[in-house]
Amino acid sequence: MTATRYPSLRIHCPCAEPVTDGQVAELDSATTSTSPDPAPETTTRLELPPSLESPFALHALNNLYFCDVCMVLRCERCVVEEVVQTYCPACLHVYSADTTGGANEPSKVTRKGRGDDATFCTRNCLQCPSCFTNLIMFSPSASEGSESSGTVYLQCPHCSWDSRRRPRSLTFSKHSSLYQQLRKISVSAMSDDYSDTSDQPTKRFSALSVFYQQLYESLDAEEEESGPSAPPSPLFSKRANRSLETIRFLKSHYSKQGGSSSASSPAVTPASVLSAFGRAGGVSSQKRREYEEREKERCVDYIDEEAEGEEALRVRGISSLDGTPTVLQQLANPFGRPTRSSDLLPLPTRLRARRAKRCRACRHILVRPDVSSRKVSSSSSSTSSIATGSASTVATAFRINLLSKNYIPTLRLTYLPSTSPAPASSPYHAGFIPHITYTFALTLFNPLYEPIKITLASPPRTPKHSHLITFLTPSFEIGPNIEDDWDLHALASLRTKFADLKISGMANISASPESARGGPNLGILDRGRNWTSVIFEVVPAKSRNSEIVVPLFVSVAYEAEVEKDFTAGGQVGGAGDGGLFDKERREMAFWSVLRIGRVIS
Amino acid sequence: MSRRQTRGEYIETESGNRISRKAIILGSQHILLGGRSTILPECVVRGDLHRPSSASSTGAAAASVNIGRYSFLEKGVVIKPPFKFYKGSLVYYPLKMGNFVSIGANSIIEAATIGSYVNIGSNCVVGKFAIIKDCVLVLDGTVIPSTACIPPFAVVAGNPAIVVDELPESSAEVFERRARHIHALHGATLTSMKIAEVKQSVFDDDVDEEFDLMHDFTVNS
Repeated sequence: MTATRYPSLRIHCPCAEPVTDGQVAELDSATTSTSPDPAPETTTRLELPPSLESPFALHALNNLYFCDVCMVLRCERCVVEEVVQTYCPACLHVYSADTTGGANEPSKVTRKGRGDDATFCTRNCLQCPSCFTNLIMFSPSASEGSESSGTVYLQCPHCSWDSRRRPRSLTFSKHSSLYQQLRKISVSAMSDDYSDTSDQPTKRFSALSVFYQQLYESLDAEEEESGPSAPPSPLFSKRANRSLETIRFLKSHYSKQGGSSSASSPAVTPASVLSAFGRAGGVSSQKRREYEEREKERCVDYIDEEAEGEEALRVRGISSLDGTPTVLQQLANPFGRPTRSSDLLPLPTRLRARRAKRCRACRHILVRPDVSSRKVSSSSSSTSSIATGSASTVATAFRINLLSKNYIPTLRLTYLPSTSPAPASSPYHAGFIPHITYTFALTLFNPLYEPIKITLASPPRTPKHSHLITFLTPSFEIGPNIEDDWDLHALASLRTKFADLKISGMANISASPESARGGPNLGILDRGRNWTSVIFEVVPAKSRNSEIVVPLFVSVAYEAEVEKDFTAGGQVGGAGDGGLFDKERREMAFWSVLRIGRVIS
Repeated sequence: MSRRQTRGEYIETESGNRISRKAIILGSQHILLGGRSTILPECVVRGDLHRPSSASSTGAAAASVNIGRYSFLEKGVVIKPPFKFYKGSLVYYPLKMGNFVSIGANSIIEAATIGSYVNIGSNCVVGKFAIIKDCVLVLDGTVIPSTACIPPFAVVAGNPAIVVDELPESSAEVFERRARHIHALHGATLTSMKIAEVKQSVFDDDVDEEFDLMHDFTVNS
């Protein structure tokens, strides 16, 4: 939308990568500790996915889904969509709806009313052809407000386009089904523009037959001339031969039909055809010059005034674009491509769809809108909910909605001004000074009901400008998200804590009880019920105006309670603790990209 | 009067609405606030433009402006019920706004209905009798023509408004969270900061950075 706001965090979806099983295993094992103290794990080399720098592979957390069967993130590009409901965005009338509720039942689409399979709203929703606003219906005879059966006209509430102000005034004979009326009008309008329609096919036919006749003759002549001396390249010869055959066939076909070869000027030379098949390379330079000359002729003679008629002449005479519709206006018109703004007809409104989304790998439903209500949302219910002060309205209801933020930890970055020469104000916008250690608190929130074990990993230096990154605690635990309330309280406490830190400086961090213990808790700044803050440091390298982009690998492991599968047969859940639930170890991992700011020199 | 102003620049109602004393609220008996809504200074809410009191005897039915919970009207927002000529006379119709609606500075709202979870940018114009459904993001400077209907999960921009993008399914949660966050933040800043700084602090990147780090959409425009 605008320039990057710092800090920003985007999550990498690996769907752009050609991932093999081996690579997955490698990724899982690549939980390298980048801390300066010797890590207990074996230091395997951390490989960055190639698409980590591609914007299309990076997503905001809120744009991602999570497949809880595959245990992977799914982005817009790696879900399969299916239409659940189509509706008109203007009148919100539902045209078709898939009312089956079950997650994996085959969909049964019920059509409602006429206009099945419609792509346009078949009621009275028409759009302004010049500004795409919904048009309003007026009746000239009736007084305001009262129903009338007379003719109606349309007006745009935004640009004051008026259907009566066209050269051919456009009025509708009745109040209902304007779309059907518009279709009839547009068909007649089209035939008006090409009034000599009866004459058209024969004219076109004779023109085509002349063209192919000449093309064939010139090709024959050319083949005789440069046959053996310039053999066509073997790669293209087959295709060229086939095209020659086609042309021969067409020629014989048209000559049988009796096309008259009365036209004098050659319409198209074989040069373009030959060059399209790559044979132009085998032609001598002198011949090419001939071709070029003929090509020039072709361009001049291309517009055949008699054949193209009045419309082409008018277009040729246009000196300014006043009164000419924009490309957008032309393309929006489903009935044709009018070349005059005054010819534009109202546009039917295209239907919109509410879609369900499935995991591309396992077909598990990730998102399914609730379409039980006939309207997309009924305004009456929303008003009543306002009056009573109750919760959300039906429009945004989903039966299934597996959002990534309910499955993977959310991250927050807070700047900690230290006693070192780092400035006290936040460096995100002021910029970073090279060779100064900046300290941040990275807070991870656990959305799950189980405690999770986090392993962070990043290369010791950023790939592009080699800024130094240090995570003091690459591996730690976060408590469960037991109470499902807003983490605003947590955030508030975090705020005050960090505010204290800002006052007393970094000396407190090293003296805090968590880190004083040393060992695994070294570098843990603070922790709450379902969040943990860890320290991470950045030392910018001296490269002017370079962006500090930190690739961060987050791996999450936890033990989930799953219901014991008694149906699958005897020996499930051999742990023998007799409960209804089994512990199952689950792991997931993802790459993220943290943009912190720019370096000033 | 002087004693009142020392109490703070905001009136706080029982249900947690905060209304700036510098906001212009007309016809307050016709305005219904859902609770925990915030109206910043220089806003204008025209509750006095209501339907002639022939049928209106009950409280809720007579409301000309209906604002839901956790709404946030930034500085200079104008809320004005739409009118049209009916049988030769000027008739005003009620304006309803859902919950978790935030409206940017200097926007003018004359809509008929605004759904829940709607974010309207600054300097927007929402024309008479426009309908904005739930989960809609209106970018800054958009002009929504009168009687237009904006479908749910749309991102609209331009003059006139055109749907430029679609919001993800998480947007209801995100807007709700954002509205609650802004309300809480605004309340926190009220105690220690001057009113002039409130808006700045609520929307300033520096204060809000932790929040926006994750709670941000990628929107094409």
